[in-house]
Amino acid sequence: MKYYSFLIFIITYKLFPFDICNNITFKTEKNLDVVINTNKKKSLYIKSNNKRLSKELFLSLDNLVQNSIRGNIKSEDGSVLPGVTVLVKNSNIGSLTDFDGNYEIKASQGDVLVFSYVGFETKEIIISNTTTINLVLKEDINTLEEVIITGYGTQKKERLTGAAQNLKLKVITAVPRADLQESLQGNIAGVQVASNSGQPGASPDVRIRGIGSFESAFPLYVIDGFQTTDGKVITSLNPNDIKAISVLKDASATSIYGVRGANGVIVIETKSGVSGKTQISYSTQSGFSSSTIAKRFKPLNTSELQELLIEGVLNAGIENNNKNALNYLVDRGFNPNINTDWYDLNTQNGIYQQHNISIKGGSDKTRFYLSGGYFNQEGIIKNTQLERMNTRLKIDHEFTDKIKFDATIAYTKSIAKVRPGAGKFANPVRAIYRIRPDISPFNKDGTFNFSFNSTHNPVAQAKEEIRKNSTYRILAGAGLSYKLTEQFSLESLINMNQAFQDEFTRLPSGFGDGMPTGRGEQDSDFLFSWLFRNLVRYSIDKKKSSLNAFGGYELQKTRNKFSDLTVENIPDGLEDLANGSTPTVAKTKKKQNGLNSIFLNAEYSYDNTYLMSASIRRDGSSKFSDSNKYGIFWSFGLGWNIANESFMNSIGFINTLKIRSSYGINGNDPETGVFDLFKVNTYDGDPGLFFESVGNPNIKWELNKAFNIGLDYAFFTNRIHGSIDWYIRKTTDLLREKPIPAANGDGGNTIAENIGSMQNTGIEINITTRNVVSSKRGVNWTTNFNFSTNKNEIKKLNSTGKPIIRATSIITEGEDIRTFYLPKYAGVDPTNGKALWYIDDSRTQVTSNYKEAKQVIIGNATPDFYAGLRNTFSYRGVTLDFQFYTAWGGLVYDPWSTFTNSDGSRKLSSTGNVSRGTYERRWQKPGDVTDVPAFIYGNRQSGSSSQRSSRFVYDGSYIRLREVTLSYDLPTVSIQKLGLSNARVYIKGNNLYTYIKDDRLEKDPEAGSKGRLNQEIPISSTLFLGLDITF
Amino acid sequence: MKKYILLLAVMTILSCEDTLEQRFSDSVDAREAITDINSLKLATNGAYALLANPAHYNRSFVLFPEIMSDNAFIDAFDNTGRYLDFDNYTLTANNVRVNETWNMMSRIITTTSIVIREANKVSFPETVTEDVDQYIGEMYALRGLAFHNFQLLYAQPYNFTTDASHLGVPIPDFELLGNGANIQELARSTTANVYKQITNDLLEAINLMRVGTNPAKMDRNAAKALLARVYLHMQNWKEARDMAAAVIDNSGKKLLTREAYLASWAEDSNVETLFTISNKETDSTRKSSIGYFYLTYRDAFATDNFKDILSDTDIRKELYPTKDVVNLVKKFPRTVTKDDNIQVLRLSEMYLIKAEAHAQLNETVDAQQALDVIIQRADSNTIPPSTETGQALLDKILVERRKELAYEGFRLFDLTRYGITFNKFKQDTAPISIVAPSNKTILPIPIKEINVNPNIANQQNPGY
Repeated sequence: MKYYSFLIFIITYKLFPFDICNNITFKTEKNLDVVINTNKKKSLYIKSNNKRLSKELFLSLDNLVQNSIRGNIKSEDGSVLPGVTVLVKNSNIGSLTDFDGNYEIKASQGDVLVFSYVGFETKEIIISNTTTINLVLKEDINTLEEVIITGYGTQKKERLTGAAQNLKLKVITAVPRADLQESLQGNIAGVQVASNSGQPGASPDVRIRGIGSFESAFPLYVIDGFQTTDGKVITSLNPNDIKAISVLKDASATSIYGVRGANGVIVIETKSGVSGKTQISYSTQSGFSSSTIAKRFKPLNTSELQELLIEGVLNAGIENNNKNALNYLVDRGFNPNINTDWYDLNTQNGIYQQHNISIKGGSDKTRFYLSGGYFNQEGIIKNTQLERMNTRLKIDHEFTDKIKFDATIAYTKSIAKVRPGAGKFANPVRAIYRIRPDISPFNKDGTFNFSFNSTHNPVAQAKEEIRKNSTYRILAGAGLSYKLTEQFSLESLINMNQAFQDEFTRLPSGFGDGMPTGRGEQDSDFLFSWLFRNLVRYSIDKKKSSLNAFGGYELQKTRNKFSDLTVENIPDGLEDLANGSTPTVAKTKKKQNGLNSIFLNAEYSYDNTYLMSASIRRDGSSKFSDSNKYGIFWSFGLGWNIANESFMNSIGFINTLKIRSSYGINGNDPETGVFDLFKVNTYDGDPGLFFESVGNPNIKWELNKAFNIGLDYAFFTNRIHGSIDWYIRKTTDLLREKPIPAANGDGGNTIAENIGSMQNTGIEINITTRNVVSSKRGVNWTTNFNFSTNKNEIKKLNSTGKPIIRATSIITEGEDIRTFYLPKYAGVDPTNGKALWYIDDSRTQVTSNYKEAKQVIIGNATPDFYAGLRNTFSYRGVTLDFQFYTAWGGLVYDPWSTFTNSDGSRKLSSTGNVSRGTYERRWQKPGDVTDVPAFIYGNRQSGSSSQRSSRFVYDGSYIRLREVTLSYDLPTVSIQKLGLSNARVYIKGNNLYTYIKDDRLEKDPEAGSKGRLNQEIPISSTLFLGLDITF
Repeated sequence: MKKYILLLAVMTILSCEDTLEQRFSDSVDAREAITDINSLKLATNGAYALLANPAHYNRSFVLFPEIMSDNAFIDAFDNTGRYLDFDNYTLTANNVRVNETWNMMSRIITTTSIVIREANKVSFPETVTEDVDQYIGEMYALRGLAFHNFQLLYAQPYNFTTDASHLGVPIPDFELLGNGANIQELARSTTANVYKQITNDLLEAINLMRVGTNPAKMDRNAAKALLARVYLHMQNWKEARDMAAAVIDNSGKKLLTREAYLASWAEDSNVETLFTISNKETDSTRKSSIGYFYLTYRDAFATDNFKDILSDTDIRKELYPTKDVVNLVKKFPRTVTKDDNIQVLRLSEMYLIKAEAHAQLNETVDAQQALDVIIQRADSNTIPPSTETGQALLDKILVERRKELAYEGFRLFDLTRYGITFNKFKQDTAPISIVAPSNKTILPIPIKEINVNPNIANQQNPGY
């Protein structure tokens, strides 16, 4: 009979929600009671006369009544979601959904199941008496649900008082960009990214909220706790290994980084393993890159150049008819019968391919993530390439509930084939624009022709020179955390970055930089840096109050050892620097710098509505003299979630409304000269010492005082959401190498000084709208728009306010830091085709004598605004996604234009080809109104290489179709047969179209943060196919 | 709990200072640069390396006076773009070569001055006194040389005004140099003061130095020879004559024979070398060398106007072989190793100085004799002794200077100190007539200097 009661209970237990059967006692015969206690310790035991008989659990209720819960998870559009993490809350039991979105997990009634999936809202379900739980997860569009990673921990965006933004992961992973930094472009308001070069793997300039320093305005990167300002570390990461990226922008978010926080912080967290079924993912992409330079900007061919030169000879009055003029030119080496297309000879369609594989999985206590990646991209200039191999292993383990441990090791090998840039003879881009088309790269006998461009034949160089930069990098780290009590925990972290960077050059004899006997160069940089950090965390949630705080100390040190070796006289055909050759350079140099810091940070929120945060940090930096080594930095922030107020309940359409504001002081410690130094040199085969530099012992770090006010909003059930921020940051005590008179003997003629202050102000607007949302695999359309402005202004320059004037730039109070300062070009005199310049800034008087024109302010390189617009359309499994990016309003200056727009002054120099603009727009006869002067052979009035002027300053505004993706997620049914849980194919294009506002500009306007076009490899457009599969 | 906090505290204390350590691996604090004879020797040697810079003797300083005069022009058809504005006489104050040479001259003056000053603070053991004097003397000599070259390039010649009161180059306060706390913004001194500084430096150098054995280093004879040159520019004919004679008579140097003459240009030094800039194959700036410019870049050639003054029997004509239609300059012929030494002072110049000074002093016979030594040495035919007198003799001496010292950085200064109008030849266009006195035969003060130095801002050379 007693067993019947028990049976009944079991049935009841299964039928009714858990709560109703707390402490149910079934009276049985012989005074034996079966007690079911479901409060905390779910247990079942037997009492006899109120005496507990079975101390040991007679039967764990969990075991007894545990069921397999099954279900299927879908997204709102009806597609199944594989890989959703399903966890029993407060336990180590977890599972993942399979390829059909199905899961199975053992759990008991009353347990809470947590369903989480990247990009979707996390959902918690209490298990009642059912064994099937099907769910539709909502895409996580409410940004306030996001978690911001700070490098010292994580924080709910809802509780943040600072300005910080996450980069959506899919923006990084499916994009074939050699480096992560490029993926930031156009995706995060307030982050300005500009590439200097199309060399695959070249780090672009990244600036957060403008340029805040003359010397080093790089943001700080934090990768799994490791801190560096070296963009190359980021470039070496495999984007597929990234789990999350947060960009910290204001003082409240960055002051915890003290002396390195002034220029913003980019925090990166890499992927970890997950418990449950082992998942294998593979992705591949394959395509090619081609030049974005429009065909119409190709340099002149021989007949065009001939036409121009003949006109030049006639204009110069040397000859008086075309025939004689041509003879004159031919006598001087012009060859009308050769037409070499240097553009075609130097460019290529570069192959692009990428393969990635990752395995993740683990048990309850131990989880792992292992990945391997291969990336290969050829540049659009011949013999340029980046090949990179990555592998990463991350393991985390729970020793006990209290002690957790994790370790990561990542290895990267990257090999870049490079070609020299800027003004170097060996620069192939310079060759494209400069070498005359009537010169052949080959002699008649088929050998290479070296009789031009100072023996630099770009075709021979592409074929025979080796210029290879290799980097071997290990990033490794280990962390230990110990939960002392519910409130207190300790964390310890050690991180290291070891890199061996090797630049190998091997130039054959007889041409180019190889000089007569051949040359080989091996430059190495051995870098080791480490970070050691210990933290104490305190967090408490009491009723409505919540406090999270941490404090700790941190040590960092970086050491470099450089060694350079150059030898000459190597037999051709031997790659290595042969023994017995003539060594010409053999030297090493060491460098080190370090930081030590203590810090404290606290965040308090009341009822999730009133927020407050504060941080303080004391840094010691090795870059300053003893008296100025230490600095204290701090921040304070407030926030108010208005939507959480009861009075807002009636306003239904507002889902989120939060005002936040912060103020704080952080710093920047660029490397400048503190000491007066003698340096080693050599003379007559013996070492020597010479006076190298004057130093300033009084310099100190730069101070950045930043104020931010922002608003986060979400309306209409999150159909519209985003944020608006306004900031002002004033950087004082700016360090700068201030020019000094030459008599002081400093070679660069500069001394470091904390000379002044500058201010960046700007607005950032971010808005995401879900324009069309339909369930059941229907149409979806989402738009993201971000817009930012940044105005830079020099507020104070030393005590006198005297401007710093350079040959083409000026730094002066009231102007932007990147201000061009050149004689103002006044166009062409229509009567005689002479170039005219304004005499001064009044622009009332023009002169045809360049020397009479004064340098004046032309404008600056900082764009008026940056904007990114992304649209995503999806219909069933098909998704179309595209992004436009614009940087609008900044000027760019091409310092090499004075060579390519020679107006005939370069005559028949082998590097005397002329730009297409000169050809098309030149003045030809009286009355012609144009901006390009008459072409005169041997011109001295205009076109000389030293005649820099605003003629070569262009409007750098552009709009670029940065990305287009068309993807198709294969239906589950069809891929199931292949044993796959997910499969996606896509075609994608980068930089497919660029609109350039200035017709005169013949190069890509993306010219780095300085706005100077430097004959670098142009940005390429890439088109490729991709495939992602998960087993 | 307590033990963790304790551990934390201990580790914080232990590990603080190490990370903030500073370190120099290839440089030394200026205040500690010279502490003993070895460091003085190092610093002395280091100053010479600055002379070897392409902005000075290794290229610019020996090139400017040639492409700005009637001796050389730049390849109009195929050039690397270097020095075009010098060839075109279109220099502006923002020319990079003008700037780098200005800086380099200043830098030599600074380094030598700091070494002199710091060495004087050290108490050396008596056993090394002679070495110390020699090293300090070398620094005085290099400073004198640098000031003179600086002056030649950026200021009008000594005789431009009767009392040399026209603007020269700046003279720093030597005591304040080498210290970032004392940045100097100097106005230009008068030419007279600069020459006073130069002669003082060289006299001090002669006083301190001994006769050396390494022609790559300054010694007493080299300083005397330099002083003879300086006196010549000052038109201090007597002193110039006596100094040059002293070097000819007492230095132990001998003129090269005709037979040895050609080959000597490929040698590090020869019997008549008083001072040469040493270049080694292991030095780093060889692609920026003057030899590379003339023979590998082939950016500049000798003018026909120059080559034509050399008779066919003149051994020196062989230094300028004609290839295609141009005359190569082969005074720096080591195209493979690119480590030509640059002859700064050689005995031939002393004969020519002596001749010129004698002629100016109307000591005609002495002048003719000194001149004929150089003329007759060069020519394989027997050349009768000179008979010219007065201006004709002087003219002949100047022509011989042009022949003998061509492409060594003399020609422009010979033209300007005599106020001679000349043709600046161009390869494919009409010559430019440079009418003396010209504003354009001296370089502008670099715009960078003008921009950062209020005291020099109004002292730009006229015409720039």
